[in-house]
Amino acid sequence: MTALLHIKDFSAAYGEVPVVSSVSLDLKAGEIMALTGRNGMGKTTLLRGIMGLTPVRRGTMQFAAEDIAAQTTEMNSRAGIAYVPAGREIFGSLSVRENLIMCARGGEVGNAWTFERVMALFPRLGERINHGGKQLSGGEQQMLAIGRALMTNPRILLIDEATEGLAPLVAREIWRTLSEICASGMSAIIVDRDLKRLSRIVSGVAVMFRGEIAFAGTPAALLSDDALVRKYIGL
Amino acid sequence: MNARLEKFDGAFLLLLAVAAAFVPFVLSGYEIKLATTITIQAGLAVALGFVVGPAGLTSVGHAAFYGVAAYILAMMSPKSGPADMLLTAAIAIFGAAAFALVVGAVSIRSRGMYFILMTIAFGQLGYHLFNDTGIGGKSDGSYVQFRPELHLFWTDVSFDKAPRFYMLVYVVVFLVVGACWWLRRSAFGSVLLAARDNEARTRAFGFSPYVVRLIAFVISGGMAGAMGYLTAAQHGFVAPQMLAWHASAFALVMVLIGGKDTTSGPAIGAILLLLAEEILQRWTEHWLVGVGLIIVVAVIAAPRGLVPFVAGLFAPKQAHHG
Amino acid sequence: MSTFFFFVQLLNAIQYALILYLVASGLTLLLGIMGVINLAHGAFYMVGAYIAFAVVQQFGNFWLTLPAGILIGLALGALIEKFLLSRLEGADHLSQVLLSFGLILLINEGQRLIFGNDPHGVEVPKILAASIPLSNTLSYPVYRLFVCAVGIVFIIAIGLIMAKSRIGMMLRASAENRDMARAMGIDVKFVYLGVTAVGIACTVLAGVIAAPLASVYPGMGDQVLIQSFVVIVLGGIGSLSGALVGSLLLGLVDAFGKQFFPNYAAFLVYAAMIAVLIVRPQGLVRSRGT
Repeated sequence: MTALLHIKDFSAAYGEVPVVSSVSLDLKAGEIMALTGRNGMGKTTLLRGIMGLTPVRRGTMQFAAEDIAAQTTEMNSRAGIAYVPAGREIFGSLSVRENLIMCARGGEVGNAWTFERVMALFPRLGERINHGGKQLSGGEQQMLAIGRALMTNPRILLIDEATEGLAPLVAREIWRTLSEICASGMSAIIVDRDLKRLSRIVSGVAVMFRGEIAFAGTPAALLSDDALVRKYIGL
Repeated sequence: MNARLEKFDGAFLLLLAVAAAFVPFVLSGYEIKLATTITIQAGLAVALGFVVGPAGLTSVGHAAFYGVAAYILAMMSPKSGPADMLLTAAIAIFGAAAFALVVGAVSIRSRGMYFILMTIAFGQLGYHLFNDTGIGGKSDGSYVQFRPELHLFWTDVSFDKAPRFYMLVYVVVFLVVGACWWLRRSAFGSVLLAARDNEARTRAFGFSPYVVRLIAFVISGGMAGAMGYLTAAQHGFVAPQMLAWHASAFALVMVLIGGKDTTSGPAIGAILLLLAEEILQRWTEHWLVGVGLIIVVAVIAAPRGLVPFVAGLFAPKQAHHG
Repeated sequence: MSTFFFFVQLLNAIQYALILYLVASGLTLLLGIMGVINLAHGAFYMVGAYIAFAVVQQFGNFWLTLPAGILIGLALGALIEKFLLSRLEGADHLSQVLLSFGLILLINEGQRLIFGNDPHGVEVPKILAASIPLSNTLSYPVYRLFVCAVGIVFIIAIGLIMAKSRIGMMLRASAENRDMARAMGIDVKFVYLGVTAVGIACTVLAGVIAAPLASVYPGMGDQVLIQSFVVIVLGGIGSLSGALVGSLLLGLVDAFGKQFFPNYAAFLVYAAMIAVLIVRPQGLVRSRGT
């Protein structure tokens, strides 16, 4: 079976400074992968590179057997890649409802993400449906950012810093919905520092260190090696 | 600015200075007058380039400083004989710099498009001041009946003859361009660049970006005033249009065509644009169509300007990265 | 000043404000959504007036001028975005200022080439040629009421589109966060094309309906350009509701300023802009698209 997302020797740089170098990665349809590592190791750049927001300096990038390295961001979105950025970046001048319906794009009949289905997933958003994006709490913003990504009916979700800066109770809520989303057959790459929670929903984990993938394997293999965890993640 | 561009910049300036020195010996009559006009506009463009480039201030109001100085000469000129050049020039340049200080002090607090709108508004205010009110002869403009004379200790120097007036213009523009060249390389120029590229760091070094930019703006405004004074002396006539934003935009076009990040660029831009105008004017009454096309093509094709473009042609291949 | 006279001035102020709003809304959308400062906007206003003149002269029918103006405006805008503005992406304001200055020269000189320097008049269509008597000496032309009606229809239409339609949401999203809008699948290039086309068509339409009010002459867009920039600075970049408030304020300043200080009306406008920017160096509220 060919990979849904196939990345080989991907490199990206800001000006002269290489940020990601020679990263190779494969993700099968329906697979959930964790991407972790310390700050500034290139995780965000890798996700932005897949989304087409950071230009590919070198390497190949294929999605559903199509070459996407030279595609624009909006083409990637329409091909089925959705992005939840670290800063949430919801549209503050739009209401919660507008944030969602603006992004709506049809999906598979019967299994499509619709406004109602997103509302059912995040009941808290339903209470604030006509509020402006700016008025939401951090947790609500993250729910909206995930909901907005789902409204495009993607085949893969790229989630950067899934629970960063959220209160424990809210973070637990996000994890619950993420496992629900993942159980629906969605593929995803999730960036977070909470390895324990991540390990419950992902099948593979990749650790980035100074722009390269320093470890790739199962969550169990990573968690069982304290030296690795200390060196690359620093818990 | 990289070292190669700096070398090209210096070489172009030297070439221009040498070539311009030959003008009174090679050209005559109308051609000297044209060369005088072009040299003055080159000085204006270089002065403007100094705030657009290193200071990062897109002023669309520099014609106001140029025009105010011209009006000061017109208003100070007696009807009966030539004015005292040193006195009137000093007051005209001081007046232009003072106006630039007021405009800059208020405008530099705004950034980006607000700064642009602010400078347009001040320029238009100046235009309407002379166009709508009784000051300076309304929309008909005003005359400088006699070209000012230079009173030296033992004699009065008249500039009525075109070659001698050209030499005066040459010396003044040479001083202005030299000053801009030197300022770009001085410690002041470095602080200015730092303020443009990294405001926070400039503050950390103890400089106020606002003050540094304002100083550059006032210097440039005074220089623009000197050019306006020379223009009024050359043509013996001033009009409100000299201050309007269209005139400022023309000077900006010269800066852009030559390259705002160099000293020679704006001067070369002025020469090319004015020569093109001259040729187009002989050819058709609707020469502004040609000028409009030149501007549109220049903005799209070579936004960094001609001098950096030429310097780039001689660059080793790898140097293009980053 | 009699009550009737005051009333007529007030109507004139509102009517001028509505024309100004047509121009300023296009300008503010271009600035707010694309960050483009278009100094040629006034020249497009003049293009509209000359379209009205040419169409009435050729076909003798005023009603043709409206679709002609809108279509030509849309086409002009699309061409300018496709071949010029899109190439300036990432360039600074200097390039935008000079590109639009080049366009001003081209449009002004093109107008002189085709129509010459003489002012022209455009006849008011017969059905709107009447005047409503207000008192023994004062009356109000029906055509001015028609201009008001067009302006009000436009305000409602663009307001509804921006607030309620998905296109409006996409515009607001693109203005706020370009990269995230693209990541959500919005074709930002197409949005820019549409915004430029519609923005310029609004201005051309303003010129068309303004043509019968006064004469059609070279440089007639200069004053409108500067005034609509004042409107935007007053109302906040990208804000349509702000532009409406700004237009009404400026309409009042213009109508009553001309009565009380006939020599200094132009002065007042610039002074207003400078005063606003002195108080708020980065403009008033920077809200977008609403």
